Amino acid sequence: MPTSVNAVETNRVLGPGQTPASIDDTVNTPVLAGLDRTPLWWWIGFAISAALLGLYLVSVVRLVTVGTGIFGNNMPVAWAMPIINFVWWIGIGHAGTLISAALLLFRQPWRTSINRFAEAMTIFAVVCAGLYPILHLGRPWVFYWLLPYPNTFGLFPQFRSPLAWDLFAISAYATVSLVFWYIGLIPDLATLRDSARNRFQKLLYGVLSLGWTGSARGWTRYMRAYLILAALSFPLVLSVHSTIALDFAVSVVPGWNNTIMPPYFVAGAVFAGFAMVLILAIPLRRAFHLRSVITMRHLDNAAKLLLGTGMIVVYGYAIELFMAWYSGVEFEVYMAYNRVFGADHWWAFWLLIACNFVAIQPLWFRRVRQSPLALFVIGVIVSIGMWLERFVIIVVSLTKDFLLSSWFNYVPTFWDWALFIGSFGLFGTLFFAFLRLLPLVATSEMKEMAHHDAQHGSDHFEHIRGEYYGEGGRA
Amino acid sequence: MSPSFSASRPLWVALVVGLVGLLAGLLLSLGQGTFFGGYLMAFLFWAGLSLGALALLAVNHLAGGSWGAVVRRPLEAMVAALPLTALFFVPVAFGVQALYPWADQAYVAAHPLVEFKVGYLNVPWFVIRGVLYFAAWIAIAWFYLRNAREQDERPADAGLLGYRMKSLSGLAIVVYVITVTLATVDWGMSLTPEWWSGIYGLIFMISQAICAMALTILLMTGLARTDAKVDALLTWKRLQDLGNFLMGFIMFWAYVNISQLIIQWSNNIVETNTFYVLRFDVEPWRGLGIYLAVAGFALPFLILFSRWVKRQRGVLAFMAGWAILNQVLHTYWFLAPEVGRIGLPLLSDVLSFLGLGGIWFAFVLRSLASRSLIPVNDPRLKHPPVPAHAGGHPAPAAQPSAAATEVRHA
Repeated sequence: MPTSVNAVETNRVLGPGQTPASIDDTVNTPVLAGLDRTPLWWWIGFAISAALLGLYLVSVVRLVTVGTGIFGNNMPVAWAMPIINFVWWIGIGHAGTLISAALLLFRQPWRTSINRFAEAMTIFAVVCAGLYPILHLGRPWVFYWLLPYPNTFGLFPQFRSPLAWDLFAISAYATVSLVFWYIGLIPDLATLRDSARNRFQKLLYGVLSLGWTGSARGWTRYMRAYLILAALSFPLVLSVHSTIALDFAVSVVPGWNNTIMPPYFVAGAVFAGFAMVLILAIPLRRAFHLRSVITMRHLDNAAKLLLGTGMIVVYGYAIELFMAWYSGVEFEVYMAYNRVFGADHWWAFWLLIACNFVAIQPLWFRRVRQSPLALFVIGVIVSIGMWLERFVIIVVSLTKDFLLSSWFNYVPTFWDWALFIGSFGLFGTLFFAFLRLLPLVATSEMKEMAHHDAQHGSDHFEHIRGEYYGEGGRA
Repeated sequence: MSPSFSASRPLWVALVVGLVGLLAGLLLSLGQGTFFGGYLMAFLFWAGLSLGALALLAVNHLAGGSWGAVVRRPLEAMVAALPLTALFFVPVAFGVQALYPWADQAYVAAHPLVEFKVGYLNVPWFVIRGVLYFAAWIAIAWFYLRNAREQDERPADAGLLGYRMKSLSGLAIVVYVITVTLATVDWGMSLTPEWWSGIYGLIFMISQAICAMALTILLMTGLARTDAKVDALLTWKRLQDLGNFLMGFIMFWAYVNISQLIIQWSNNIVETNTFYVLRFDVEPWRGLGIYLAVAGFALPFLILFSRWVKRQRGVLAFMAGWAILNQVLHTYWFLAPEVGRIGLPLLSDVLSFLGLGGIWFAFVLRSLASRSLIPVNDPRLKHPPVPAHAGGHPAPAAQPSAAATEVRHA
């Protein structure tokens, strides 16, 4: 392992002295090494994930054989853990799309090197999320009734309902994300094919790389396809979570029917996603010796985006409470009171504020953004906070709605938790398999950068930064 | 810094139009009680332009993109007009009784939902909040303008001053968002005290951003005709950046408006459906709403999609003017039905609008003319990122690697 050039912490987008060969060595060697060279931590992680996946499968079997009665949902809390977890998972996916598509369109060079695993994270998170509404249907085997197709029982989706839009938003999102990820992988798969060490690798990467030769014409078309897909997936970041926000907002439940919901949900999704990017990136760069590829610059920028989107989310919380009070409507005012001071769930709201508002404030300081450990901890706290946010919005709003007679205190059951914890196994198993089989950094893009650096002497964005932070300005 | 363009004639024209318009508007509506409605709309629009510029300036310093240095001066000139817009607020404070139903005891007594919030919506507290908002905005404006002036005077400290502006910009944005949200609730939303919408503040913020960006484009392209330095810096790359911002803001504007529409239309509850009931059932508003969807969003979106359009100064300037016109109409669509207008504005409304606009413009032009049009010491101008990328014409493929990057990033 060429650790000498990779051990240095740097604030450049790419560490100094990187060559195409060193990038190949860093990224591809672990993928091409035999199973006997797989590090112990991988086996441990994979085993834990597989065990949790087992729990997931048991829960699914139990759900299908017994029915949704195994969950704690009951009127008026018809939406509870399954929807919380669905929104939580799909939110996580958004950072991947934002990094890969939006940052490409905005010409942010630092997206390279974190885009690959962030996109993988997106796809696996969408898998975990997408299964939830299907399982939550009650009769998952007839989920295709949601689709508008001619049938004999006169059933057609209600297109005025955002729930029907959800199906299209999420499936379009999953499809485009998958294709985008795969297209991005093709040149790297060809590199793996060309240096394959055994027949299995030759076959696997040979088939997957679709005969990529690296010709100039191939690259031109590849670049064009990549840009088009980026432009396609960018609106999807907005559409998916806006639709989810509308699922709530078009209902008249106090705490849901706020017009701020769509933008605030989108920001929340990106916020959750960047927290997960940090949670994944920080151990990965250590385990795979990627310090000069996933540099402090990447972590610093991700932390800034975490702070920015986090503040938008906090704005959403403030607007929700302020507008509920300002409306003067009894039910809205009570919702706000119950959320903040209510006997049953006040802790959830204050914990949420602690996680999503207080815990991100240190990110204003460069010193905190430069500490991987601090960023990892903040990432974990924010992930918990974002789960609590959905809990507060969904459960706390529903338990005490309009009529006192229908108030109901929701408590999740064993199976609610089992399915949720099991879904980490699904995510983990997929992610560990990805780490072992595919390059977790887009090597072709990194090589282009290394070449660019070699031609121009240095990372040209350093000039601007140097001027701004020069002469004692570095805080 | 010596003035680098002569603004005296447009300045005087604007000032005369402004004062005459304002006086004529006031005289015309004397004794009819209609003056304040038109004045409020004009005030919100022109103050919004300065506020939009304040937000863009803060984002500009925070993000540090190379587009920022080029457009700093027009933004700073608009921001410099904030104390003037504080002066514009004074008549609004005197017009509270005429404008806002919640200031009327009888109305409040008949509307329990409004009675609930008179602790917030009352005349003294309304005026105090207004003063606090302007104090915050003027403080931020003063911070930027003072540091910008120092940066002009002390090239040696330019980097440090740039860093200082950058490091406080995050806080400036937080203050801007909180104050503008509350200000739009006070000044606009509370015209119909029973109605509410959480996204209202955001809709105004994005509208302000469109106007400030569009006016920046107009000023820059206008100045580039007479000023060689501006002409050299306003490359196709910069134009495209500005055009992208304009398009992005217009898209976001449509997004926030459609969010409010879908939610309040679907909810269809008596507390919040009044906004669209009024605007969809009563004819001039319905037609104007459809016009805004087509001409305010769909057309500019399709036209600005073209990279060619964004790189032509004339075309981009036209689209910028078009965007401002539609934002004026959007402001009218949002506020006019709430201040009792049906259909066309009164003559006094138009005169108030031109009046405040004229004075505002005179101030902005004077401010723009008083300093160099380019912040010469801005660190971002000293090191153009990569020479091959920054030319005034499509970059020649000098080096294979730069050309390859261009393909990828184009």
